[in-house]
Amino acid sequence: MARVKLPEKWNRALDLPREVSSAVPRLTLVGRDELLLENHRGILAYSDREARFLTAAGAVKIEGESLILSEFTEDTAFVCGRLTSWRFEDGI
Amino acid sequence: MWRQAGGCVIIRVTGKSPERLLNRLNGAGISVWDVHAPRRGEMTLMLRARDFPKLRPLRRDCGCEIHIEKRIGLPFRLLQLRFRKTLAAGLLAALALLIAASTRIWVIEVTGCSNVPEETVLRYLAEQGIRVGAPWPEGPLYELVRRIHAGDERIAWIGVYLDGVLCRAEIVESVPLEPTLDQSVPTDVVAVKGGVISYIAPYNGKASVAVGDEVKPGDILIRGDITREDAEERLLVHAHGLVMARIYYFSEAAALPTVTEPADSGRTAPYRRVSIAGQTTYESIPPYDAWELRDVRAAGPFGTLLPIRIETGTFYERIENTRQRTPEEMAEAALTEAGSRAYDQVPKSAAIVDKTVSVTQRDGVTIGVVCIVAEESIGYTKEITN
Repeated sequence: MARVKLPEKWNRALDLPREVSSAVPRLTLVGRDELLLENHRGILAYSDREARFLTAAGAVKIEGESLILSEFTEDTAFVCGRLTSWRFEDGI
Repeated sequence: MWRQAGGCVIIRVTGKSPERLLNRLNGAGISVWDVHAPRRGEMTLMLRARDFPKLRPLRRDCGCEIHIEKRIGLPFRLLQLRFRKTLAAGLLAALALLIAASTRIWVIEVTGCSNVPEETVLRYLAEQGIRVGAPWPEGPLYELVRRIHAGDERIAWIGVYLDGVLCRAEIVESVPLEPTLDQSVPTDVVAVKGGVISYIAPYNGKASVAVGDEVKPGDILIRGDITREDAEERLLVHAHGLVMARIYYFSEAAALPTVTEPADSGRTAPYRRVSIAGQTTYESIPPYDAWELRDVRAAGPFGTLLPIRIETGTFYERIENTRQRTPEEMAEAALTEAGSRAYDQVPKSAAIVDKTVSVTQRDGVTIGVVCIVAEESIGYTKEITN
């Protein structure tokens, strides 16, 4: 079930952490072979060398080798493999 | 594992934009995992089998082809059994047999028997319907226990517990009462052991000793003959009372400078034991003459699901190893041995009030002496015969 996303101004008024209830993306990197992306809005491109996700803050590009999308649900994407870089892409 | 229990399919998606299908799946609330993209325009992914029919409307306008690569999980395994009717029937029969057998008693354990033979207890249980292969008894167990208890006065208490296919019967035997003399018989209270009197309370008769007196075995403690000096006839009573004395228990033991102890040789061998319903069906034979079994633990999940238990462990070869002992070790060994011997002499009913130890050296041998002072009742009622 999708989480309820509150508007930014509500978050500020309620003094809630942004990542808990808003739609901003959260990236958690575990070592250099696991990356968890929360609050994504879909996948733009995916191969064993790169994965691009759409988020509220823009497109996130993850690069590496032998990439596997271990889990892909409505909110989260869990990417495994030998990660080399990630970055936000402007102009999307 | 839980995902696979419900059934999963691995599908291969080919086309211009498999990512588009992925996003549509996402929008429809269908989770996917283990997504591989070996080359552009091709993707393999895993999803729940029940979500697969939802793919047909979602793939429209995506320009993607979907092929099932593999079906995995319990539902598909069960489907395969459709074509192996004998195997399925055998599995069902085994399951039914297991369920039927699990409602019966297959092992009976009896503990606590020393005077009452175990066979007698098993016979009592069989009379109440508890025997190997019998179903669980109907009605409350305490009724059954009461009937067994009432049937044999040698049994003070019996507990019967049912644990699956195992029935445990715990017995506490009655302590036989010592025969007592008739109260009209004239008696003395005599000492059964030598010691120093610490308390005396004659309930009937006349005390012959006082607190602090040293007595030997056979000495009269409370006299039943209370005839006065000027009386013409003897007056004899049934003497009884409580006489406590301090008894000294000595013991000594020698410890040599060298000791031969078992030690690990360094060689090991694996140990396996398989038991079904508490009965051992296979057990590894130790490959060494002297060995010690360690690290024994149950393996596998069978214990909770089936009455099968598999244990693994390690046999360690043991060899005799002779070594020199330090003076402290010799003293400790001598005192431990002497103390153990002294404690063995002390009756269970006695109260230990003091303990002294001493260590001496003689010809390179350490000798430990332990003296335990215990307070206990030493009075014994003995009939007056002359």
